[in-house]
Amino acid sequence: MPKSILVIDDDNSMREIIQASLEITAGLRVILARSSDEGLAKAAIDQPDAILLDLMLPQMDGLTVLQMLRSNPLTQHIPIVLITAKARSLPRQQLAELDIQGTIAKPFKPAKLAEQLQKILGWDD
Amino acid sequence: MRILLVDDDTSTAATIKVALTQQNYVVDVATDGEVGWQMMEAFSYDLLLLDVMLPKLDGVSFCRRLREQKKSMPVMLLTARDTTSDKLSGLDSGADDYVVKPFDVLELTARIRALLRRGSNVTSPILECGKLRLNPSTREVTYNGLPLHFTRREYLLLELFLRHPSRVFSRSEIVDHFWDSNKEPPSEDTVKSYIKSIRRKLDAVGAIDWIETLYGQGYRINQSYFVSQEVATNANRSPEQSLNLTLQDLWQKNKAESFQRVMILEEAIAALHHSASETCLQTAVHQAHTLMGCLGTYGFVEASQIAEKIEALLESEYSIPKSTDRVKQLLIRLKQEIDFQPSLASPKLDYSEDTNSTPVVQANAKILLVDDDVQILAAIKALLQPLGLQVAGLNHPEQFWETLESIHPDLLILDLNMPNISGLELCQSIRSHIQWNWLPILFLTVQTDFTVIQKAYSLGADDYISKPIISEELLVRVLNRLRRCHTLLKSQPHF
Repeated sequence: MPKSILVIDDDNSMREIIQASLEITAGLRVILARSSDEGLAKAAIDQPDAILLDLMLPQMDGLTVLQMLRSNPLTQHIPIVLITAKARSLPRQQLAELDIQGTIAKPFKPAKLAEQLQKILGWDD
Repeated sequence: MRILLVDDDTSTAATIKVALTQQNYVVDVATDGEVGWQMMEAFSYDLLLLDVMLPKLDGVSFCRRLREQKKSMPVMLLTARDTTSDKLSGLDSGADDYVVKPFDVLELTARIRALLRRGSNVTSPILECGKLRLNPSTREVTYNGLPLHFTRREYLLLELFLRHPSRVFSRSEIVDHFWDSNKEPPSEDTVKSYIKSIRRKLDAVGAIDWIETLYGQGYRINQSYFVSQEVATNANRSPEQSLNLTLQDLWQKNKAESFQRVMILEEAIAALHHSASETCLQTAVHQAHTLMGCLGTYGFVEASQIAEKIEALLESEYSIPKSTDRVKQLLIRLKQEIDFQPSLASPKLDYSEDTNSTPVVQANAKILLVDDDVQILAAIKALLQPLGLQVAGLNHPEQFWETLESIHPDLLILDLNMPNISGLELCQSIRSHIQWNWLPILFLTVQTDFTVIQKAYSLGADDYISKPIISEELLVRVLNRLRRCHTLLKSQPHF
């Protein structure tokens, strides 16, 4: 069974690019969510192996979604990688305090995304 | 569309199932040929995906038996074998297509779409030859990702060549294809001028002599381009090549959205010029931010950097009047970078976030969800409610009948394995109840044993989903079931 990634991003283009990148270059299974609510539901139902979460979501910001994922017994164990714009990257100190595996900066090179993600998640062994 | 996948490799089966489910197909999986055969006989499928090396009944024999019984549904064989004799024996058995493992999931899904289209007589999608791509549904033509503009007749001529990549068309045949027989046909020189114009446009982007002239016969695609296409569409295409092609397709498909974002950004900036509205500012910042990430990832590095500058200006010093002009100048440059086409961007009257189209189901359909796991109940409710569905969760099945009476649902989703009461018994009671025997029942189950699933169907279940649940599959099955009920209700005579 291939590893699965839940992608929570409100931008349609970005979701589709991420899906194509991860499926084609690494054969990962990608689950898509276009809003924070949909992401929270799918995380609990699909039980993905990891979550790629956009920090800047319109209705509920990424950090709130992160807290909710961590407080739900069905999702608290799932590794999370934040996807953020370089300019909006959080200070190192704040990142270290968050319960996340790492961050990926937007824009990214689609051909390198899977490699980057797998390295952060320790799936590259 | 319902697909039966018969594959004993559970990992491959799971991958295929997920990919197809995300494309709104309903997929049932069997892990040996005999079970697959039973399922094929029990249910109605639009397409069969059969692994060749199957226990109990191999894929080729399965297919042969199917055709002997005059069953005509499309069949695609999946196999690790890649020899001509294997392909021939597979196709001779009556299969419609053949995919060799390991395969690209996107290629597999595209071939499935093609097979299903063949059954429904819908025309095929993108036509390509080397770097030239023509999308008949949008009438867009690109060469190596660059958009090309053709007149209507030039476009039709190009499409004709691409649909018949090896055929030679004489000028008179071209005239027959495009000009109304009731009207005066054009001179052969007119055809010649169209060919010349197409060649000029293709030459300009590097496709030299794309149309070749066979003296005394006519025109066709230069076969050296056709050969390079054969190589490029081969299953051996590298992942990077596949990804690049997919990204080009995605940009063609989604660029209207980016253009729309540019337009919303432009409108918000114009509004900000007149009054400092916080909503407009937030909208502009959000659009600039999204454009920065999305355009940069598509490879528009300059455009992405411009969007980033706009975002920074808006956030930091927008109150300074001179920055209005600066932002406007940046917007002009951004539009140039992405070849902005206003006709593709339909401006929105408000600045609300875009949402994908929500599947249409009967308004306010009610669903009763019975599962002893409260967290699962909450998650499924959160998944279904945004679709406009009213979802009531029940984690104490002993209160089932009173809840049923008070909710009066259109669909019941039932956990098969609950601690105090069996889902199967509940299903049986519902089917024998005079008031509720019509209620559609969808089972959630950890069972993958076909005999249990078969029992559920024999007791009156309408559908089932095995846990762990795939949310996309759950959505498709719920919506399909509700649509079917709605159609049935509408077709019932009124008294």
